[in-house]
Amino acid sequence: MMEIHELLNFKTICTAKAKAMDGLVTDRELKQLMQLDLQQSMQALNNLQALLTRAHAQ
Amino acid sequence: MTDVNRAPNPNMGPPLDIEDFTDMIGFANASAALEFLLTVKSGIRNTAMSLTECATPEVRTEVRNQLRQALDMHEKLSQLMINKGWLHPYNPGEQFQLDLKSAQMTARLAQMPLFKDRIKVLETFDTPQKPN
Repeated sequence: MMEIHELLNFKTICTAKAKAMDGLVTDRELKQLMQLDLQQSMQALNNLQALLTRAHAQ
Repeated sequence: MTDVNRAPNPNMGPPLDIEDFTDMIGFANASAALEFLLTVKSGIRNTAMSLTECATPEVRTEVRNQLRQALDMHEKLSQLMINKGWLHPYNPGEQFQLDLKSAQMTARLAQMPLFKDRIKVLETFDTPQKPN
């Protein structure tokens, strides 16, 4: 429960950072990899939130 | 010049000298890649640690998937950095020189008066004080 919460926080910052970095990076390949990371981070955020909400409901 | 007891103001450095910063864009990309790499590695550690604390199989599966994803991302990113010449895992000497150069370059950048024009604007967005 608590560790999922910490992962959620970590992933939240990862998402924010990936978004901010997108405006700084000009290398095309690096940009693509970072955009993939952003998508994965957003997906991970959603999954963690779902798990947390379910854990709270019980 | 600088008082040893007081931290130097990072916005009061020498004036901008573009001559010395010809490959600024490349340097910014390399720095961003390194930051990304450190974040991915940190994510791998965090996820692996969480995996040892998971309470339900459902949570464990999700965290394990995220760990695999992070390991995969690390693979892709380190390969990209090796290809670009930003990372030399099999040549510590080369890596060390590059790191030293980055550190010096960054230290000089940190001395530059980069955001002088924004100080006034940013001050208006200071966190309001709570009344006691």
